[in-house]
Amino acid sequence: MTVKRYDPVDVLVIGSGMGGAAATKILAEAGLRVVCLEQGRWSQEYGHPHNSPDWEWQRTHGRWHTAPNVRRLPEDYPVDTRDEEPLMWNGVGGSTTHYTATWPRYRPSDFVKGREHGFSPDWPLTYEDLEPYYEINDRDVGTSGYAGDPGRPPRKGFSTPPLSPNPYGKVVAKGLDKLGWHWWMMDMAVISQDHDGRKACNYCGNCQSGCNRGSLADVSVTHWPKAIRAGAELRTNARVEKIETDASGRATGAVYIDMRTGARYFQAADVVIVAANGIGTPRLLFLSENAQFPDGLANQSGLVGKNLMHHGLALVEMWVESITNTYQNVVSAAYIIEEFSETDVARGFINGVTLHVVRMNGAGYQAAGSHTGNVAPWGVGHHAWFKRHFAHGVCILVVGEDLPLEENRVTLSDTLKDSSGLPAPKVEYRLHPNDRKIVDFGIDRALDLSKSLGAFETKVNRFVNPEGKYAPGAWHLLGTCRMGDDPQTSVVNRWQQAWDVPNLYIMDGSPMVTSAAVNPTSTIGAITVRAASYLRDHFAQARTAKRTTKSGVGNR
Amino acid sequence: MTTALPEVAAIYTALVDALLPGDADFPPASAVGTQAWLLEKLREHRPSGDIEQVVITLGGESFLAGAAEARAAAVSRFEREQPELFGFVLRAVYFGYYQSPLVTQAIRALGHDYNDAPQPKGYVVEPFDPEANLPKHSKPFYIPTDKMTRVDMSAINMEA
Repeated sequence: MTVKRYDPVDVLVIGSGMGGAAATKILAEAGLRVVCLEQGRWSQEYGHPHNSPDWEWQRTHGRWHTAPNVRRLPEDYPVDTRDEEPLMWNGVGGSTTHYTATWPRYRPSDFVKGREHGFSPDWPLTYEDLEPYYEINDRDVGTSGYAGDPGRPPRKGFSTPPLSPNPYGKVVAKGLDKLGWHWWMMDMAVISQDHDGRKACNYCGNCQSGCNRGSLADVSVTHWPKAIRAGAELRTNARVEKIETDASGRATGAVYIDMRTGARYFQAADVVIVAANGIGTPRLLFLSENAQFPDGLANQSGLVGKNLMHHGLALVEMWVESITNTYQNVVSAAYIIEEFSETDVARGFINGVTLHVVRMNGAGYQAAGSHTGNVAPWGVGHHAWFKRHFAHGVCILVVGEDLPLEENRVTLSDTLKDSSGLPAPKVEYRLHPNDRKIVDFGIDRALDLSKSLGAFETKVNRFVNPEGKYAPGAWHLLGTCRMGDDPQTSVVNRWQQAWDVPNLYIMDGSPMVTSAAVNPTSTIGAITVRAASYLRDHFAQARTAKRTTKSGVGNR
Repeated sequence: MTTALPEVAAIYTALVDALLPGDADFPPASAVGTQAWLLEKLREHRPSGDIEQVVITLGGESFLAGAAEARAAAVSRFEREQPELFGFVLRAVYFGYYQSPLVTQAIRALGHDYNDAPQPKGYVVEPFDPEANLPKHSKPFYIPTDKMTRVDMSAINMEA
C-alpha cells in the first residue's frame, strides 16, 4: 500500500465539529501550523432544504436525516447498534450542522457529583474553573438569551437579545406560573439580531436541517472562516484510518484516505488532537491499536469507549385551545424549566431533570405523528383533526441526567464496516434504574403542565422500540474518554491530554465526566477552549512532552 | 405486474383520495398530485415489489369498482395486514400532501401564517415581552460548588 507523506505540521486535528473547530481556531490564531482532517464535505455543497417544498421529507427520510444509519451518505459510517439511533453529522461543522443550538451551561453541582453522591466521579475542574471559557466560547459562537436567571450562577450578557418565544411562550408561561415552577428563557446559540457578519434568525422553524441563513451557530459558519483566515488548513473528504505512534509512545501523525480517490496519505504532526465525537473518537483510538497499544491507543486504563452517556429522554405533547404556532420559530428557543435540576432525595433518585419547551415542525410532520406518534386519522375525519390540532400544540422535551456506566460503551463492530472497509463502531447503551426514575418523574411533571394548560389531548413518547426496549435518539455523545486526575480511572488529564500518549489530546464530548441534565455543546466548546488555550500557552513543552502528568505539560 | 399500468395509476389515485378525501377547505389528495409523489417515494425508499404489493393488498381492480365505504374497508385491511408498509404509505402521503402549494394555501385560508417552505420569508413573530416571558412565581436555586455536601442516600434504592 502506497502512502504519500505530507510535511509535518505543528498540530493535526481530526474532526471539524465544535471541538475541532474551536481548537483549530485558537491554535491557528496563535501562529501554529494546523491541519484539520474532516471525512465529510461542506454542507453547503449539497444545499440546505429550507427553500424546497419537500423540506420536511428531506429532514425525516433523506439526506438531512440526523442519523447516519438512515442517511447513509458516503462519508457516513454505520453504527452497529439496536440500542439507539445516534445523531451525528460527518461533515465540516460536525453535528453543529444540524443540532438545535440549545445552549444552557452545566450547573456547579454537575462537576462535583462524586462529592454529592459518589455514583459519578467529580470532574478534575469546577464550574468556576470553566466559567471564563464558557464566556469566550459564547462570544465566538454568538448567543441569545436573557441574563439574570436567579436559578443559575451570574453570567455576562448574551451576544444578542432573547429570541421571541411568542405566541407560544405566552400560552405556556401561564401554565408554568400556575404550577409555581422556576422557568426561564432558553439560552441559545442562535442570533436574534445581525451579529458578526451573520444575519439574524427569521424564525423559519426549520433548525434541524442546518441553517441556510447562518443565524444558528454552525461552526462551519462561526469558526472555520476565521480559522482558515488565520492560516489553518482544512482538508475535507479525508477519512482518518489510523493514528500512528513511535517507539517512545508518542503520536507521529495519522494515515487518512482521500474519499474521492481512495489514495492514502500520512500527515505528520508534533501534536495530535482527536475531536471526532463521543463515538467516533473511541472508534479511532481502537482502530489505532498496535503492538505497543494492543487494546487501542491511550487505553491503558481500559476506559476508552466506556461510560457512554446520552441523557435519558422523553417527549410529551399536548394540544390546547389557544393558538401556539409551533411550526414557526426556533425549534428549542422557548423555555427551560430547571425547577428539578438539583438532586432531591425525597423524589427517590439522585441527579436531576430539565424540561424544555420546544416546537413541532411543519404540517406534514404534525399530521404524520409529530414527536409522539399522534398520527392524524386518515379518511373522512382527517381534515377536522388537522384543523383542531395544527398550530395548537405544546411540546415538552424531558432531559434527564444519565449515570456513567462502564457497560454503556463503544467498541468495534465484528460485522459492519464503513465505505472504506474500516470497522464500524458498535454501541451498547441502557438506562440505569436511577435514570429511568428521572425520566418517569420528568414525564409526570410534563403531564402536570398538560393539566395546568387544560390540554384537550396529550401523548407521551418514551422512546420505546417495537421490542419494548428504551432506544432513544442519541443526540449527545459523551463520556467515552473521561478526564480525571488519576490515570487508572481516566483516559485524559484535566487538560485533555492522554495519559498514555503525551502529545495526544481529545477535544470533544468524550472527556466529559457527567452528562448533567442539559444539552452539552456549550460545555464541549468551553472545555475545548480551556484545553486548547492551555496547549497554546504551553506549546513549546507540549511539542516535546515525554509523559503526561496530573498538572499538565507546563507544570512539572 | 399483472395489473395494467393505467389501472395501477387509477388505484393509487383512489388510494390517496381514500386517505385524504378533501372537504370544504382542503382539496382531495389526488387533486394536488399526491399519488405521483407516493409512487416516487415507494420507488426511492422501498423494495422493488412494494408498489405492486400495495395494489394486491387493496384488491387490485376490485378496489376501483368499490364505493367509498368499500374502499375505506380495503384500506383498513391494508393497514391491519401490512402495518409497516401502510405506515410508510401514510407518512409519504401526509408529507407529500402538505407540501403542495394548494394545501399550504388552504392552511393560510384557515387564518394560519404558514409558508410554502421555511425560507426565504421566515415568519414575523410577536416580540419578546419580559412581562409575559419571564416567571412570576418561583423559588429558584442552585448549589454553589463550595456548598455541595453529601446527600443522604439511605432512602434511595439504586438497584431498581
